[in-house]
Amino acid sequence: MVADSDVLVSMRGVCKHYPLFTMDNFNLTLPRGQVLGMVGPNGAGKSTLLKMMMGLVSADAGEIAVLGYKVPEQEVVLKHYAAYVSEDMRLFADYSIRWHMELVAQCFTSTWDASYAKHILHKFELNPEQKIGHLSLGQRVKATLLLAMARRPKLLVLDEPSTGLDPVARHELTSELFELMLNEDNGVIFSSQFTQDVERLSDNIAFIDNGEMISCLDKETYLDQWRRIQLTGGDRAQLPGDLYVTASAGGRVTAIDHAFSAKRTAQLSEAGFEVVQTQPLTLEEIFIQQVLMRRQARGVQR
Amino acid sequence: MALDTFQLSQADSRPMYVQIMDHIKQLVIEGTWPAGHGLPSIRELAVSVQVSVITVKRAYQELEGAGIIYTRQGMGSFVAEQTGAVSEFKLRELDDTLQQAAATARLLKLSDSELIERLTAVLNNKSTGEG
Repeated sequence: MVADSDVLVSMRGVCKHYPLFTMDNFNLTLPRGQVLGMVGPNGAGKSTLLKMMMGLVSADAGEIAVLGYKVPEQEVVLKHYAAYVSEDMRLFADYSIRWHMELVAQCFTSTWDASYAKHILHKFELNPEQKIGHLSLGQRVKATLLLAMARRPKLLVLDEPSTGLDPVARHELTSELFELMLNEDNGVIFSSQFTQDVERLSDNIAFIDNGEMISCLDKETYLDQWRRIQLTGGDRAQLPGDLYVTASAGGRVTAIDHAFSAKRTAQLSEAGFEVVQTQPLTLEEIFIQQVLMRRQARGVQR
Repeated sequence: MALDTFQLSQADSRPMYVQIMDHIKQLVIEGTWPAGHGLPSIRELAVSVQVSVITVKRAYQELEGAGIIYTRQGMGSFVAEQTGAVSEFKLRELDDTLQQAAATARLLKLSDSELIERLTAVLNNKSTGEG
C-alpha cells in the first residue's frame, strides 16, 4: 500500500558529486495533487535529481522519500506506483509497441489499465503493430509515455518529455497529463526546456542551475514579482541595490526588479527617479535573468 | 455546459488567472450563473481549461475577495448575491460602450445634444433609424 501522506516527494539534504558537478544539501518537496516543473540549463542537475528520486542513481548523502517509501531501500515497491520516463529510455527495436504493452502489463498486473492504454494509443495515433525500430523520435517518445501512463501511476516522473515532439504532439501530451491530475492524489514532476509547457502545467516551478535550486515558487508569484523598469533622471548611485541594471543610455536606465511591488515606484521617485515604464517579464525571461544574475555574482566573487 | 466556453489565450496579455476571473464575471453578469450557482471545482476547471490548479485557485481567491463568489468548506464555491463588485464591473462595461458611442458620434460630427437625443430615443424604445 502507498503510505498515507500529503507529500509525494521529499528530498532532504541530498548531496551528489561527480567530477565536474556538485549538488550540496538539496531540498525539494512535492505535495499531493501538485505538478512541479523543473527548468534549468543543460548540466544543471535536473536528470540527476529525477534519477535519484527513482533510485536509478544513488545520492552520496541525504534522505529521499517518494510516495512515503524510502529510496533506495524501498525502491522496488515504489516502482509499482511511480512511473519514470526519460529520453534515453531503451525499448527493444525489433519488437512492436503491442509486445511492449504486454510486457509492461505482465510486470504491473495490478495497476495496468488496458482500456486506458487503448485510449492513449488512439489519441497519440500510434499503430501497435509497428516495431520500435521503425518509429520516428516523436513516436518513440509517445510510446514510452503510453507505457508509463497506462500504469495509472500515482506519481509520474518525466525527464524532458516534450523534447523531440512536434507542437501538436506536445499539446496531446499536456492534455493527457491534465487528465492524470484530475485525481487529486496524483502528482507529476517533470523537467522541460519549453517554459511554455512548464508555465501551463505546473503549480510550482523550480529553477535549477549548477546543482542548486535558485527558486521554487508558483507561477503567479514569479510573474507578480518580476518587472523590467525604465527610469530617467536621478543619480545612478542612488539606485536600490536589488535592482539589476541591464542597459543605460542617454540618461535612461533599464533595470530588472525581482521584488516588485507598488512600493517600488514610490521608493524610486523618492530617490529622484522618474519611472517611464514597467513591463512584466515572461517566465522564460525571468529564468534567463536569474541565471545571468547568478553567473555575474559568481564572476564577481572570483 | 459553460465550462466548454472557457477559452484562454496564451497570446492574451492578461495573466491566465485574470482571464478566468473575467470569464466568470461575464457568466455572472449575463445571468448564465445566477446567485447560488455552484462553480466547478478548482481541479475540474483546471483540467477542463488546461491550466494549473494554482492558477484557478488564484482566480477563485480573487473573486472571493471581490465578493463575487463565496466558498463553503467542503461544499465548493458559489456565486454570491448581486454584489457591488459585479455592478461596478457592469458600470465599467457600460462606460466603455458609451465611450465608443461618443467616439462614433464625433466621427459623424454629431453635436452632443444630437447624441443625447438619440440616446433618449433609445431609452424611450423608439426606432433611431430612418422612418
